[in-house]
Amino acid sequence: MTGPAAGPGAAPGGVALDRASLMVEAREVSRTFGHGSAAVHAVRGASFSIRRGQLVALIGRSGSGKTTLLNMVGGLDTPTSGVVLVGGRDVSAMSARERTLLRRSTVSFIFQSFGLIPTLTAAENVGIPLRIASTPRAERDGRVRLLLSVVGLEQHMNQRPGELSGGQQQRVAIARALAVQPELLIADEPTGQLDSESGRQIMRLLRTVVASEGITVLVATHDPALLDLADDVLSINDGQLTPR
Amino acid sequence: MIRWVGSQAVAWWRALTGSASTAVAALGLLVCLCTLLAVVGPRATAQVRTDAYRQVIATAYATDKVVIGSVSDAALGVGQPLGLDAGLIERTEHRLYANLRTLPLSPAAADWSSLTTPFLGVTGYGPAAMAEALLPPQLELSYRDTLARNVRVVAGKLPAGRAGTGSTVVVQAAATEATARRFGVRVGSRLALPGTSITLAVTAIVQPRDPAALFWTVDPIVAAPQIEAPLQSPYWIGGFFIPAGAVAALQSQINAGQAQVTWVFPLSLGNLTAAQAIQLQPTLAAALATGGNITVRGSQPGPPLPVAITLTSYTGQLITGFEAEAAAVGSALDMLSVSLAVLAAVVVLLAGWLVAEQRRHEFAVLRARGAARRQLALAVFGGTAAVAAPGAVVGAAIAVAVTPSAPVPLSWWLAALVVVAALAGPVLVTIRTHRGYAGVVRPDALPARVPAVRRLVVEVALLAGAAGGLVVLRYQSAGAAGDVYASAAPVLLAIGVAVILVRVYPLLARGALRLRGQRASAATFLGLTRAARASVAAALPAFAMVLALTLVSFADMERGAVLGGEVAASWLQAGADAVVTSPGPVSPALQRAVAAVPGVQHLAAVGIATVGITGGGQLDVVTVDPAQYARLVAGTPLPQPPSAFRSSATAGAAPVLAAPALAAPGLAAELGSRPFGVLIDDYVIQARVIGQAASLTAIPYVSNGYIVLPRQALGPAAPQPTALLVNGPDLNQAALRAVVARQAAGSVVVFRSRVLAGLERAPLQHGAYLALTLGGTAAGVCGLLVLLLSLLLSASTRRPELARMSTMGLSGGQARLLGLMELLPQLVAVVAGGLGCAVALVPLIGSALSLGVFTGSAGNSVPLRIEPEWLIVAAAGLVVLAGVTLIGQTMLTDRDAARSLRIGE
Repeated sequence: MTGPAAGPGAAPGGVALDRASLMVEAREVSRTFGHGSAAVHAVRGASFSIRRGQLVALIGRSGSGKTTLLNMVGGLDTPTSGVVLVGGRDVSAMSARERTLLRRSTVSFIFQSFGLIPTLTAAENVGIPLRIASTPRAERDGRVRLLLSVVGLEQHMNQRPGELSGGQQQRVAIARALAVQPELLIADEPTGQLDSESGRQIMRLLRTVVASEGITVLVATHDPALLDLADDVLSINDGQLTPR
Repeated sequence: MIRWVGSQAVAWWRALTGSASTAVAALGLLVCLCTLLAVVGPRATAQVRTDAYRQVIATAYATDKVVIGSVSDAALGVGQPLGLDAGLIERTEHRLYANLRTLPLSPAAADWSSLTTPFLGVTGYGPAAMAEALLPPQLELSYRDTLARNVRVVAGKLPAGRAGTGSTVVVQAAATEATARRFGVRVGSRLALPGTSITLAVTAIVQPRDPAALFWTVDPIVAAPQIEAPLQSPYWIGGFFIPAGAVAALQSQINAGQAQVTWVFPLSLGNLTAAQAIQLQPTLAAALATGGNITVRGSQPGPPLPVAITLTSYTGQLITGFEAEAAAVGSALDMLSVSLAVLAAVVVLLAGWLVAEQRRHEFAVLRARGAARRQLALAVFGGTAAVAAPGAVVGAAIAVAVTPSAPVPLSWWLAALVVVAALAGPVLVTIRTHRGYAGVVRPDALPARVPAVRRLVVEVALLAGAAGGLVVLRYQSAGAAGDVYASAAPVLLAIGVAVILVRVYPLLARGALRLRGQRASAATFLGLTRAARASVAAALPAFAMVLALTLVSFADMERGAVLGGEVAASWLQAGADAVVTSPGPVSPALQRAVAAVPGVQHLAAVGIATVGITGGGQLDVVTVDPAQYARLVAGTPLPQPPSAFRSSATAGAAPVLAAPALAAPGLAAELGSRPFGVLIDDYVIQARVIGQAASLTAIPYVSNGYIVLPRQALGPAAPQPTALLVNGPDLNQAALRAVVARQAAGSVVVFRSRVLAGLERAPLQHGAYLALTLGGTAAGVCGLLVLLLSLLLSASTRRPELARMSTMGLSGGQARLLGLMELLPQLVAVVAGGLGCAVALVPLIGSALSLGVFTGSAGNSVPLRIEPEWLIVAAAGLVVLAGVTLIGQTMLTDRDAARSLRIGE
């Protein structure tokens, strides 16, 4: 992965990267909210790249621009300037429909507050992305059972989120995020509402997912204790990627 | 300076409204509109009633709008040794006017008094007085104090001065031109009155200034002589005017006990409102009962002598007749007004709820920092009161400006309901929402469930209250204006239905989920899941939408009934699509020409004669060809003649057996089914009523009492046809008029469409139709506002969920489908509930609504019927508009997933 100190496309030591091996590439990406004197520069000139199969942590304190950067990578937001490539495709130039399709098959999200639908069971929650993608029922049911067993919650498949612990809920969320076999998994502070032990369990699960599924994971966190599980770390401060 | 003031105003506004500036501003606008709706309804109803009342007054006879006092000459002249004089009559007039001052009297100048003698024999008249008469004419002498104002002198000068004295009392007199012609007098003529010493000296021939004025219509004989007792020994009677100075002289010449003193006090009724007119009745009755009791000072010392003057007025009957109409109008329209006001209150309640929701986060922070709920309630109250109060004032002012009627208390009560809902709604929601200190509850978290027992108790109480109210309504007497229960019936019914709906439609959603669940798309699955989890909070929007759909459907059915009733009334009044009345017999050529007019389908020639019947009395006989007549009325709303009439066609001489007859409505019961004799020319024809006839009073000279006989039954005595009844829905009126003018000059053509147009344009009918149309539209708009507000309220839970769905690839179209699927079970339930309410209202209060008054035929019942097409249109309209509203709302507000996610986090 290249960090902010190097130009885009350059590897450490100046060796040019094979673009095909890059999952995410950002070039001088900026995002500004508002106009004139009231403008807020949430992200300023961020350039980085992430190789396929890596688990990269994005650290920074609250308000540093982590979520904004993740949203632009995931196609939930468009940069004011710059280019974001995901899997070699220019997300920043996509239409809303193209970005929706991107999120349906290529990119998945995990959130701090888990984001489960409280009226659905764990199995039904996991099956949501597959319904959105119009996956046939038999295939969907099989995939749901597999994913829940991967995250170790097969026995809880018929329980609702209110009946699960925080860590269990986040694991259901991870199973849901993996349902469509994405290439990129974006996690926005997935351990923010968990205790430290549960947080480490979640990070180890993500690590396992990366290793077994070959998924690229970009995790935003402000917990330094979790950084040693990451392949690399991006540091963002006041909208700018800074050397760590 | 302006900029400073502006910035201060903005700062004040933001401080007052916090984070819900837009919602508060919208609330102010809604309060204005809803207050306008609440106030305008009852005032518009009062205006419709007042317009109807004023139409009744304008078309009433002048003699129905006066108070008449009368007493005999002798009674008033009691204690006066020389009898009555004009001065006493005038002074008594002033006393009576003062006694009647509680009534809306016209200015005193409109009153007049008179002394009228009994009829007296006369000599010296001309030959015209014996024309058509067997006995000599008689005349009355009439002194009237306002003669000069009411006549135009054609010749001579008005009588004046005192009567001459001596063996012959010469009294100056004036006569109208008609009287002068009949009695053969002119200026200078003299008439002697045998049995008295009076000689009339005609000094003036006059013309009435206004023949329709009360001065002439109270006693029309003074305007023109009439023939008296025409069948026995007819003779002419007329009247001559005498001056004030002659009154005293007459006292010794006439039978004072038979001379009548009369005072006429016109009432000024045209400016009253309907409510004022109805309230006038007891005042009128009291004034008539006691106002005529006066005292007269006699010539001898001693206490004044009592005189009882009889006061009468037909105004009471006029108002009584109108009051029944007013009650019917009030029932139908007040029902709409009250229900609309309740709907309006729900709209502002939901808007206030939205304000409280939008300030949820702001208040949660304040609460976490130690603010008491009372302080939060005051904060939200201040914000809403700042817009609700001026909004209500503006709305009420506009309502008063557009409906300039007298104050109607009901409108202010309904306005108060709206204002209280606007002020109390946000306060109650804020107090309930911020009971705890746990900070903001995630809006997409499951809402706390109301304990089942508490919910059940509330539901049972509401159902019992609604059912109890409806039971009382069902057994109340119908049609009383201001009947609370009749007005509240739709609301009571909607409460009960909404309580049941909120239980039922989640079951619908769950059932649909079970049927489709595993195969359903994400949008269907999630939408139905959300619908299956409906909370108690859905009861209020469900109630409002059920009520709105009920009102729209019911107003449509009422309008349909009114329209149908007007059409039926036009048939009853006109009798056919066109009625051609000829001054002479209708020729075959005219009949052929009329039959050839484009659009004419059926034709019936009609003959008319006035005949006597055995047992005494007269009625009009209308002769028709039975087959022609049967074809004419077939396919119309008019009564169809029985087969015995249709097939009767006896020819030749008058039959011995009873001819089948159809009788006019009302006459059939009087004549019964026994044969009776019809005396026509020299024939006596037996007839027997076997059915009712269509209304033929549109034919001139046909009275309300007529029978229809087969022409053939009268044989040679049958009158020649002088009228044609023409039917054809697409009748070319211009062509018919041209044909009639060409073939039968002087004929009159009356079109049913004109009669119908007259009914539709009449103030009561037009006003009621407009009120029903606008009321139904307002109910529809309120229903859509309720839907929009409830969608906005649920958006706070739907938006984060949709935002998360968008991270999984849910498209905008799928998001809208999700919203539709969430709304669909509730919509289906609301449509079923609303239509059910509308259908149930028909038997429940249909009998309490006398719609006949809206059709110009108060005596005819206009049944309220369930009209499936109106119901289908209303239901389809609601579904389409609901879908459009949802799609519009989601497109406008459920955007920017990133921001929604950030807020959700």
